[in-house]
Amino acid sequence: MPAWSTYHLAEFLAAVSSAETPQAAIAVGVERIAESFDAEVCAYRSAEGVAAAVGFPPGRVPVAALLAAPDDDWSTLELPGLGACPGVSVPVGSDLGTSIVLVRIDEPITTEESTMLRGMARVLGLTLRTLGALDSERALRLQQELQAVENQRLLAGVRERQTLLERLSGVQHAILMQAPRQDVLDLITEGVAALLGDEMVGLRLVDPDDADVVTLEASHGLSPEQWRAVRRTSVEAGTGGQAIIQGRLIISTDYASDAAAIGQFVASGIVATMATPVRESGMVVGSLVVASSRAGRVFTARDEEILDAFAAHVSLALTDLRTREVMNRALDDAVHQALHDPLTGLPNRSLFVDRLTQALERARRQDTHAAVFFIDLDNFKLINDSSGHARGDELLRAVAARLADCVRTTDTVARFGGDEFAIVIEDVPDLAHAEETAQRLLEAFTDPLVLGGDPVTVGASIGVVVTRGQAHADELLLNADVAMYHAKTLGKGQWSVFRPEMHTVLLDGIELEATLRGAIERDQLHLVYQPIVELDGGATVGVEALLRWTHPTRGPIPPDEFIPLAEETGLIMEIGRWVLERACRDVRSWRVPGTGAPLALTVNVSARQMHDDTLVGHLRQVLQAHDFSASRLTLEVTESVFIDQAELAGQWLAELKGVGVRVALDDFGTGYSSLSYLQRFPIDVVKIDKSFVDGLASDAADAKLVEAIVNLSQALALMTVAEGVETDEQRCRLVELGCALGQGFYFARPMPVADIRRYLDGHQLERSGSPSR
Amino acid sequence: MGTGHARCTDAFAAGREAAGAALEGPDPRLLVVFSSQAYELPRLLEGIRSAAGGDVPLIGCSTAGEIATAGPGASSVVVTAIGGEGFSVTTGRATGASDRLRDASAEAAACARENVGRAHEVLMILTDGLGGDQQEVVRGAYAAVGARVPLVGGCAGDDLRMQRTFQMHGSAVLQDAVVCASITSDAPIGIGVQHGWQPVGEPFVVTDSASNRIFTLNGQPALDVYLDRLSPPAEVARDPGAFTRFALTHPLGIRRRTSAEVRFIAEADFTDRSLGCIAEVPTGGLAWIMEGDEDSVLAATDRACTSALAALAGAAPIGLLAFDCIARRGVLGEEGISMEVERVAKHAGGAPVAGFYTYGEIARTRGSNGFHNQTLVVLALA
Repeated sequence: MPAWSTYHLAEFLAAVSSAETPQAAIAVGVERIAESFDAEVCAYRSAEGVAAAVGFPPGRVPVAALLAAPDDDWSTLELPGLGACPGVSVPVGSDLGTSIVLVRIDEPITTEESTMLRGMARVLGLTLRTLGALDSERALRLQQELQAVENQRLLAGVRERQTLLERLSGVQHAILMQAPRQDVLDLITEGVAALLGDEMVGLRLVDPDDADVVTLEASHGLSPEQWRAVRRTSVEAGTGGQAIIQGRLIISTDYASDAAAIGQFVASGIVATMATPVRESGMVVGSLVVASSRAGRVFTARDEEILDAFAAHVSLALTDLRTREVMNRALDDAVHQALHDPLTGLPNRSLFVDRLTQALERARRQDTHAAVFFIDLDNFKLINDSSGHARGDELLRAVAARLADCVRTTDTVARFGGDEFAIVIEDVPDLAHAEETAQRLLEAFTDPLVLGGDPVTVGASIGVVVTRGQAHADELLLNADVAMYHAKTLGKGQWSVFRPEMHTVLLDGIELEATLRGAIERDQLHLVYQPIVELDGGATVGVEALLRWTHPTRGPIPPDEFIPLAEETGLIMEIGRWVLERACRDVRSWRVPGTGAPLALTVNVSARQMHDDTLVGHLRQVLQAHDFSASRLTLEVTESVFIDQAELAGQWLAELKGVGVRVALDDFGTGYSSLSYLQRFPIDVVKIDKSFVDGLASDAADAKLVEAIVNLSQALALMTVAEGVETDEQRCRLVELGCALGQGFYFARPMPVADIRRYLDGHQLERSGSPSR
Repeated sequence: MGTGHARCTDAFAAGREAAGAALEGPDPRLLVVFSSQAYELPRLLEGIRSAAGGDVPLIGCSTAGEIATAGPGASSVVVTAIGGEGFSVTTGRATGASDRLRDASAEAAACARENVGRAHEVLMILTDGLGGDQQEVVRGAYAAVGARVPLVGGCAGDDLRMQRTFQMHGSAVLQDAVVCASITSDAPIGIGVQHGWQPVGEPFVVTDSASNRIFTLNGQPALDVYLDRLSPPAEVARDPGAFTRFALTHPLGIRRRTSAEVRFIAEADFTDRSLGCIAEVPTGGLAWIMEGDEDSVLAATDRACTSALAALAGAAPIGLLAFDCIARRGVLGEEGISMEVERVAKHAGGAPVAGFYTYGEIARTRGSNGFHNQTLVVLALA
């Protein structure tokens, strides 16, 4: 419901404008003012006395007391028969010494009501002035024979009053019907133009964020150049500025020589201006300005009052909007919640799509580019699962802040849920700029985030699409998403610009995932085994089980393609259990060639399996079912288990070791390697990565590192296994450095069960022979 | 204060009987007569005078139903006698009121000036609700007595014929008149005002109205807008009687500073599609359809009585006068109004109750507005 005041002014206007004489207008005016405010007493007073008062029987109006009331708010006024009453007085029009006194016995007049009262008083003053003019016209008519021209003028006066009423009513109606703010303000500037007939009208309001600046909120008759010149100016510029600063109506009849004049308007021939302040809750918040280029333009008192009346309506509109804002805030909150991600406060997908649609529209119109970035965090699932959801939430908030810091405030950063974020950037000059932005976004992840005092490193993969706005928002987002998936296939921390063929790749990925899900049941997975041998002597002491997948149509899929997919989708849990079970079953009866001792088995375990609560139980069960001695089994983990979750990894490894198995650390020396892991965690075997073994013969640094690993391992009583041994030279160097075991093509490739059985049997026979290839 | 309620068909006998019963108390200072116009009113007054003598000041009016301690009535007469050392009364009247409502009201209210000053004062006004914008009556009376004197009263009825009403003053039966009684008292006087209606739905902007006639709402013919919103039975859109009966329970509300004020729509002009209300509906204002039900209307009854009695500052009431809108009768039904009068009587706690069903109610205790529709006004005397 709009503020009551708005339509009371409309009612008031209708009532006083029906009066035919000034005395009648005053009488109706004071009566309606009293009724509007539920007040008991209202009086119109001038230098001559009290012209009308309600609230007192005839002849008992306390004239002296009413005249003595100060020209302002007062706390109480002593009135006969009514006691000490609160009230206010406000001036009527610009005539000094004419005012309305309003008294409400049991409830003081509020500030908002005072503002409203001023508006009513101004309307009354305006009516009185018009009626006065009509009166003198009538007197003239009686004195002389009425002439056609005067008749016209009389008619014009009546019409003008009618026009004013219609315009003001129109404004009030717009406010009542909750018309958009701009429409209401436009009606006001148009109304002023229609009533005063001057060429230009402007409504300027002080910028709420910068009190030194005024902005042009509505205007009439300004050329685009003039509009630009005053769209945003310092607060003191122009007659309008002076009205704001001095808080009163200002007239400039020699505009060109006015110190405050705005050059653009002087240049366009403006000779006279008038401006009056616009108030909100009593504070000057702007000004309403008219400007004329008519030579000899003089602003009459009636003109002043018309401008004031419209300025009062601006106040009404602003107050009404404020009221509406307050009332709508709850609604806005609900809307905000519907359009924003509660965790990060960023726009959600709906709002993002909306903003993106607008951005595309602008790009189309202005022939510019917009870029969409689709961002997915790497390892988020790992961190969220291992460190708890609270920590995960904290991470997402920190990421949101980092992303927001990378772009302009006008760009939109959104969170789509999970660990997906999106950004739309407008006015992108070219693709290179978008690529730089993608790189900058990735670099934002370089420094670890500090969560609860602990540094956490998280990476991201980014898909980029650049468009001129021709595509639909949903389509663009999909493309950005596809590009992001492509970036993920390039490894962690990559960005990728969308290309149409990526759709095919993505579809392949989706198909691959679907097929992988059924791979176990359809018997598409199988294990191959690679012998682990003594470097010095060549005896096979164990095998490493390696997983292979034969796709029904595509044939063998490389492990580095499907294992990340299995990890990403969580299928690795089921697959991991299957591998453990199958390997133990296969290897159970295998013996070390020559000695007949049970052959050792190494099985890879994914870091993701750390979160498989059933793994330890499953392990015990498998060992028992196949009568497989725990001491024969080594579980191999990569260093990645220690990233961001070292504590938990330590506990997990200890649990596994509690079953009796040994733990090997795979790929040692790559990535995040730290020699301290070897000391801190319950590790039995260190596997030296193939990349170091490759450089053993040629690269002194690699040799040094391998030596260090071996020395440390020996000091800590750990076994070392060199991976990817391909030459005898490498084997010799490793032996020299003190490394005990190795595996690689130099000894044997990974083999299917039937082949490895034959291999073991063969070695059984050739116990002392040279290693097979 | 004493009351008498008579139902016998003979006007003289009914007047005599009711007055006789009312005059049981000492020293009558004012007689208040609420009577169905089914009686020949001059004969009725003769009957009253025959019991009360010729000197006691009297005001009264025709009704759309009478209220007495024992319950509501129709085609009956209720006479109230207010008397005792603590009261002073003067009365006034003005005729030819509809052309000059405000001045006529001020003229009738001028009687207050002749009254003896006492600690408490009220001006009771009975007027012709079919005679134009009754807010003007309140304005005239307010102009005459000022902020110091509360106003109370109601618009005479004609059993919903909507043709002509009567006012009574002294021994005269009047039409198109305003009659007033100024009552001053040593004891406190209480007034309660409640309606129990709530605005529903989106408001209309009153885009064209003159005084109490509404021509357009939201820029469209007012009658069509009203009918469109409410979708009443078909005969409401054709038959004036059906329209008035329907409109009784579907009034308009207009927004005042702190509350919604109800406006009873008395009739519609099926030719120019305008609506006629009992009081002014200002151009430029907002108007709502109002809704009430038995519960909300009865709850308002309790609140009106409670606030009237609270103003007595602890003094025991000697009687209650009720000015109850005919539209409330429409909502409550015959059984409901019996319950309502029962409730009023219960609040009176043994003191007599009198009143009538009105075409508009007057109550001003604060501010300067004081004309109401679809409202119950209760005057409590101590």
